[in-house]
Parts: sequence; structure tokens; C-alpha cells
Amino acid sequence: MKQLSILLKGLIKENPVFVLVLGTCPTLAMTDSVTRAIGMGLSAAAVLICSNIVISLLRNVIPDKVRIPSYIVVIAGFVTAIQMVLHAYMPDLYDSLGTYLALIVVNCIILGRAEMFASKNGVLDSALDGVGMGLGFTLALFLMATIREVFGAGSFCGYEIPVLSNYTIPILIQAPGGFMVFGLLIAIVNAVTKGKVLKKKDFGCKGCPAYSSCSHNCDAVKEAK
Amino acid sequence: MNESVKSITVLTAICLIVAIILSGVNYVTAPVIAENQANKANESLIVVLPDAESFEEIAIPEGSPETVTGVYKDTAGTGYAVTVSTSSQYSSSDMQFTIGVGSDGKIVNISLTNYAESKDFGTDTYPQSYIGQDSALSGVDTVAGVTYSSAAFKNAVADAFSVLLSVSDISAGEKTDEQIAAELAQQVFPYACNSAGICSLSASAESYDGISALYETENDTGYIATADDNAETVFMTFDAFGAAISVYDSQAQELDSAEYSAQLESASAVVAGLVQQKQDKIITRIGKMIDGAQVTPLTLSVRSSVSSAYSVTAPDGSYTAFVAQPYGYGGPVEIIYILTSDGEISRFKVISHNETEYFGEAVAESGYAEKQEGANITSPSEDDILISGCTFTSNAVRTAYDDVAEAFESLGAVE
Repeated sequence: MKQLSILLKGLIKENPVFVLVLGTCPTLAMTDSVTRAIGMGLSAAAVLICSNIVISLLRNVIPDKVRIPSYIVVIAGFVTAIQMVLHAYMPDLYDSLGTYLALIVVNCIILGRAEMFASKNGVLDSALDGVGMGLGFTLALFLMATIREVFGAGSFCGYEIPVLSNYTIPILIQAPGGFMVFGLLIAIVNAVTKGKVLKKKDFGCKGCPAYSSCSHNCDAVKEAK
Repeated sequence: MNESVKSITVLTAICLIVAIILSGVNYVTAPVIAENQANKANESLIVVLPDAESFEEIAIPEGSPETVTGVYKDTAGTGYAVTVSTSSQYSSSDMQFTIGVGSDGKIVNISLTNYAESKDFGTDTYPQSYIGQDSALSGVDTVAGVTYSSAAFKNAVADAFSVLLSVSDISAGEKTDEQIAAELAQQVFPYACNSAGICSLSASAESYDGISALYETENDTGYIATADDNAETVFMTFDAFGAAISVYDSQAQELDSAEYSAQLESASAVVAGLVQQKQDKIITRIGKMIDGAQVTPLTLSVRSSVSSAYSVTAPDGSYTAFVAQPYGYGGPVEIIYILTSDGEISRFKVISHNETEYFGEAVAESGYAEKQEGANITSPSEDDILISGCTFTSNAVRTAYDDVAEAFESLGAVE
């Protein structure tokens, strides 16, 4: 049961994009087309799952001091491997993802999950967290891309939709439209969950990925409030 | 201390393991990626040679023109693809295209991939006019008004053929007499060609006894007559004053003039008639410029952009007149210089030109002529010659000064 909740929380309750508001850069850049969004989402999910597993396995080996560089090396290793595989076997997707593929290395979701979850939990739970978060990310991208492509370009996955293609709203596939759709979706998710999720303690001072190396005293911060 | 050592060891170990795994992935994917990219490069070659199966690159021999960037052979033997990149005068980015040449030596297709010149020579239509041409390129011309860009294109196609002929077994195409004459003009009358090296010849429409064709240069500084000699065509060259220069065969090799005296004689007569017609027009013009002038044509031994020379006797003194026709931007700029006996410019007049509106045409304005008048032909003022923004036109006037000065000095030597 606990495992199921770990898996499912990433989909809506702790959706990395709409609730945690992480990985905004690829979210806005990649959601003008559904194909690209799915490609990006699945690539990031693959990296997330693999890095969560490896980091969870190594959680007792890696000394605290070199934690972050070790995580980055592992994540960068997986991203590079995925880059090579895509370049070799899906060159079109590789070209369309462009530089954002390499930028998965610095995607906050992946480092954030490594730091917040994988480094503290067992392998199975970490893998499930990776699957959940990865699917949550993909789902969010897919949702946003669907709205933007269907109404902005009058097509879906590149296939033209009859009628709709004559009444497109071109701003939706441009950057401002991205922000608008993003804001609206966050608002909807917030309304559905009644804003509860945002009060989770993960977002407090101690939940910060830089907590361990930060000079702030979190208890003092809390008291000051 | 112990903790630091552990940190360093662990991080180094992680880096090493990741590197090893990545090299493994790379080992698997690198050949696939290389193959994909080769296929992609082939796609642009397939466009120009649609029946081709796959391409293998042929090494370009050393000393080949720099414009040719790649030569590819279809392994199935349907032909060759050549990639060309040429920079020309007016663009900072190279003109790039791919030519497909069938095994019969004729162009199958041309695909222009980059063209950033200031004037469009017809990017859709102009390259298409090359389809079906062989290495002689006898059926294509440059585009009027876009001479430099289209000449760069044509020269690059010729470069591609020159490399292709040296590395493949396709046969060269036959050149027409007019093409051979144009190449000969480039060699014999360089001053009759523009700065892109293009010599425009016009074939005379009339037929003459004893010669098969007569070509005049655009700036009246040379003539080429052709005659048939035992099924071979011989090319006779004459200078601006109608004097025979030499006789050439169709490979532009010089022949012994003495063996062709009969042909030379009839050609000379025709050329002399043409020269006289042109001189008569200038004589009338000088007569209008100086009242009561007696004008007699002179024959010079100097070969340059000077197309004719006259001795002028007027009531107020005697002068020497020269007509020079150097190439400017749009074609020859025809200038009359009337000089006093010590070389001072008494009159300077541009009688015809084809320079651009608002720019080079300033050369024909009266203000420009006034600046030249009074100067000495041997020591002109650079500031007065320069037309800002019009390099080609200014260069043409500079050439005119140099050539007329040389012609003037040669007359002095005779006298």
C-alpha cells in the first residue's frame, strides 16, 4: 500500500511540474508539440528512474561531503547514455529535442528526487518514486502540449485536426502562450487539491536540496517567522 | 583525513565507472550514428542523381580549384555528384550547390542550397538552365545585370567539370566556335574582359567572303575572325586598329600566320571596314565637340583598352584624341580624351556607359568631366578620379588614364 502511494503521489498530489513547480524550463520549451513533449518526458523519466536506483544503491557508500557531485556525475552519465542511444536509434527525436536533452542533467526534478528521496530510501521505493515522478512529469508535459498543439496549431502529434486547424490560436504555441497554459493548469491542479499539497513540509527550509550545505539555521528561520 | 580520502576515492571511483559504462554505450552507438549521418549526407546527393544507389567519395586531386569541395561516385555507375562552394564579390556567405553528372557527362540536376547574393539571378530558374549541359557548357550564359554572381556560378560549374574530367572516365563536351573565341579573347585581349574575366563577344550577323564568322569585342578593342581550313576552324585575332595579331587553332594553340595568309587577307579587309565604320562615328563626334576640326585616325601599336586614336587639327591648335573603353561595373565605359601636345586634358567626355543609376553613372556627369579637364594625362589626381562607393567605375577611369597615357607616350616616341 505504501508502495502504491509512493508511485501515485508523483502523478497528481506531488506532481513535479504543477505542484512542485520544478523543471519549468523544459516544460515551457518542449510543450509546443505533443511528440516532443512525450520524447522529453520519457527521456527524463528514464534518467530519473535509473539515477534514483543507482543513488539509492550507493546511498550508504557516498560520503556526505561529495554527495551532490556524485549525484551529478551519475545523472550526467545516464543523460549522456540516453543522448547517444537517441542519436543512434531515434535521430529525428534527438534533433527535435536539441540542447534540452543535454540539459536534463540540470533538471531540478532529477537532482531534487535524488536528494530528497533516493538518498534516504530503499531501492524499490526509490525506483517507484522515479517511475511515479517520471510519469507525472511526462503526464504534465503531455497535458500542456496537448492543449497548446491542439488549439495553437490545430494538430495532434503532427496530424492535422479537421475544422480546428482553420481556427488556431497561434499565441499558444509561442512562449507567452506557454506561460498562460502553465499558469492555468497550476491553478486548476491547485483548485482540485484545494491547495493542501503546497503545505507539505518538504517545502520548508529543511526540504531544500541545499539544506546540508546551507549556513542557515532552519530552526532559527522558523522561530523568526 | 580519513574522511577526505574516502570522499576522493568514492567520487573518483564513481567517475571511472560512469566513464567505462559510457565508453561501452559509445562503442555500440557510434557506428550507428556515423551510418545515419552518412545516409543523411547522401540524401542531398540523391536529389541531384536520383537513380543512384549509394555514394563513395573520390579524393580530389591536389591543385584542383578550391570551389570543388567533394566528388562522389555512384557505386551503381549512374554518374557522379559534385559539391561546390563558391564565394563571389557581393556576399559574405558562400554560394553552395550540388551538381549531378550522369555517366554520359551531362548534368542531370543541380541543387542550389545556399545563395545570399545581393541580386537574385533567378535561383529557381537559372540553375535549371544547366540541366543537360556537358562540360563545354555551350548552352548557358551569364545573367544580364547579375553578371558577377552568375559568372561565379558558371565558373564553379566549369571547375566541377574540370575536376570530374580528371578523376572520372566521362568524356568532355565539344565547345562551339563562339566559346573558343571567347576563351581566346580572354587570353589575347584581357582588356576586353570585365573584372570577373568574362569577355562578351558579339557575332556579326552579316556574312563575309573568305571567313566563316566574325566576332567583335564589346569595347571595340579586338576582333576574332574564323575561317575553315580543311575541316578545321582557325581563329584569327585582330587588334583595335585592325592589325592582325596571330592565328590560333581550336585548342587556342598559336599557328604559323604565314600558312594562313589567304584567310588573313580576306579577314583583314573585313575588319578594316568595321574599324573604319566605327572611327567615322567618332570623327563626327569630335567634329561636333571642336568647331572646324580636321580629324584623321591614327594607328597605334599599343594594345590596351584604347580603341581608337586621332590627330585633330583645329583653328586654335592641334590635339590628339583617344577613345578608351575600359570595363566598369555594367560594361565598357567609353571615354574620349582630347589632349594638347603636352598631354594636358582639353576635353574629357564619357560617350557611353552602362553604369548603375545614382552610382556609377556619376562618371558621365558634366561635373566629373570638369574635374578631369586641365589635368595632365600622365599625372591625374586620384581624388578627382575617385567616385565614392563605385570601385568598379573608378577603376575603369584609372585604367583609361593609364592606357591613354601609354598610348600618348607611344605616339611621342614615333614622332
